[in-house]
Amino acid sequence: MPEFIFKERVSGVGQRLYNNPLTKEAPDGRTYRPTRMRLPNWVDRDVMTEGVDDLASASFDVSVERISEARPLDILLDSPIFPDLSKAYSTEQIIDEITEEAPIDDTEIIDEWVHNSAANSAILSGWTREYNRNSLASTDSGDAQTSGVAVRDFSFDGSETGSQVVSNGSASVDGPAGEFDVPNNGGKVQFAEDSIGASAVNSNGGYQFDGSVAQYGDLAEIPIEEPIRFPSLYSGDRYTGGTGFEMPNVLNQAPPEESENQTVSFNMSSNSEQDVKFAFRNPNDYSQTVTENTLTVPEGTSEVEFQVSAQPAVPPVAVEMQDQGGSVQSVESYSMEAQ
Amino acid sequence: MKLNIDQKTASVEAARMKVPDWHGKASEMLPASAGTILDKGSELSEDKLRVRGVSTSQDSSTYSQSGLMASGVHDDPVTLDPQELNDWARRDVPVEEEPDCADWMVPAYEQFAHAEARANEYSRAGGSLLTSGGGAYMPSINNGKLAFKSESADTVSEDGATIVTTDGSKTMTVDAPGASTFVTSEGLHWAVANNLQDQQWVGTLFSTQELVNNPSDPIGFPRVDGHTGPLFVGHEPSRPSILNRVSVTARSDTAQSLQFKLRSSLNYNRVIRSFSQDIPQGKSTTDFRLLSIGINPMVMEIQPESGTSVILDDYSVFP
Repeated sequence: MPEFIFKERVSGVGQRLYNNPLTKEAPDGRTYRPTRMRLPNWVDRDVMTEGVDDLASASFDVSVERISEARPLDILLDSPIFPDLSKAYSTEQIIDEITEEAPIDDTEIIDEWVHNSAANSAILSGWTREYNRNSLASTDSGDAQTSGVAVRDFSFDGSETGSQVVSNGSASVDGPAGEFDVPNNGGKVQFAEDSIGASAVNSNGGYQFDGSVAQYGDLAEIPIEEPIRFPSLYSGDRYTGGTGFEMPNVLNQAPPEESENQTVSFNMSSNSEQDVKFAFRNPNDYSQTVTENTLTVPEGTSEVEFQVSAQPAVPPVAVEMQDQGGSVQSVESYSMEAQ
Repeated sequence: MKLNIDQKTASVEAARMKVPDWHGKASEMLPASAGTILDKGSELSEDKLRVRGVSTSQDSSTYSQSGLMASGVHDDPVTLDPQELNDWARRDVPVEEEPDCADWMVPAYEQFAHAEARANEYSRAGGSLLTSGGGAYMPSINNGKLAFKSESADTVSEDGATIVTTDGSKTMTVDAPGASTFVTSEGLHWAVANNLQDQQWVGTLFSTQELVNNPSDPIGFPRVDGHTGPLFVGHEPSRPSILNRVSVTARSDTAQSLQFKLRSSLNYNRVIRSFSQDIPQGKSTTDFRLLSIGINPMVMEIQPESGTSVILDDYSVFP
């Protein structure tokens, strides 16, 4: 019988419930760190099974109300690696600053992939700080061919060169659930049964190429009360031949109280009208989408609200929010209240 | 499962350790005369923990590297020998042929492969080590727990040091060129800064994410650019006891002295007891006894001499 709830006790703290264990063994014998959701103490097996099934048939009446102008980018956190760079959620916003700081000299700063990687590193390390106020995620960016790019359980296949990435149209990334292809000048999220990771790739056809990986360790717990940016990599005119990559925020929507009816509300800031993918993913198998919707948020800061119902109670789910065009800068709050 | 640190309140750099169910409840399992000190690992101090009978016996005079792993990312040789790794990297990185390959990528390639291989071994033994290596100025180095601040090699050379940071709120200094071990109340790290050019330089980071307790699979000690880093392992008795017999089997490429530091599992900054022991070249086993009113799980830091290659084969605790 599959387990749906894993108990973990912490010295001097007490018991915690999670949907996945701290570590698992992969078929090749290596241990990996599953993506975990902390579960509220009222959750039981019925909620994790019947509640999730019931949610799949639910429909939502979503209200989106613009409440103010878009928040200034100053509300984002500095990159700990590049603390002097402007705050940004998109590589395009800071790449000129980086290029000016370290122009190509053909001996040490040898190609534009260095600038792309540094820009991604700045964006993703800032995102990590924001996301990790509520959870645990890690990221890495750099030269995916030679120096290598890896976080704990996701890494690039170091045998590929940038020219091969261009001819194949993609680069290969290894994760706990196996290899997956990441399109050039774009990115991909691997939602596997018990792990979530994301990767982005940019190659201009040289030997080196730029890659980024992110691993979601513990999903960000609600309530979210401080902004978390939506990293936007390789979007804009500088990057052609790809779609760019809007990295999703994946949150742990765990109701603090048990109820058949809950109200979900969150705020988002966007610099123009933008579609946002909004999906509930099964906490017992992230590869399964329980329900999916597309929201359109206007320019400015919007308050989004909807009701959700399920029996025996609204279960915890992983919420995937993905900007569909590179305009949404941050989710600024996210909460849930029993009705 | 029981852990020493709560993820919810932990800092991003936290290295967590699995602890036995009796941790924190040991006083209930022993006679009242044992006292309550068992519940307070952080209160154990040098005067309450004794190390006795430290001895080493040589199992073999031959140094072998069997059981080590490769990076799994490149086709790197399975070795701790930096010269062999450097030769491989020089052959593999086409600095002369490819215009976008620079000299600093050779040590970056070598050190990334070495770090990934050590992380694989630590993972095979049951723990988790986060590593990263490469150009620390641009594009920058980040292992998920620790990152080098992006500074040009000129600046780093002038300062003689560079900065590593956790999430921006905590910073630590690394001699450059050089290596430093950082232990905080929750974090266990080793950082190396080397190959300083005009702008670029190479950085390598090792951070423990989940401690491996009493490992019995081979783990190579990190060795980067003439520096040898520490290994941190969990010291986990199987039950509360006033006596632990410890057996440490290691292989070394030269006769040397190993430094042992027992740290509190509740605050890694607290060194409860430290000692050193000479070991011969080849494979050897070091035995010692720990005596205390009560012995909680602890963290053992083992530090070889700089520039040596050492493999930890086994760390056993009885009971």
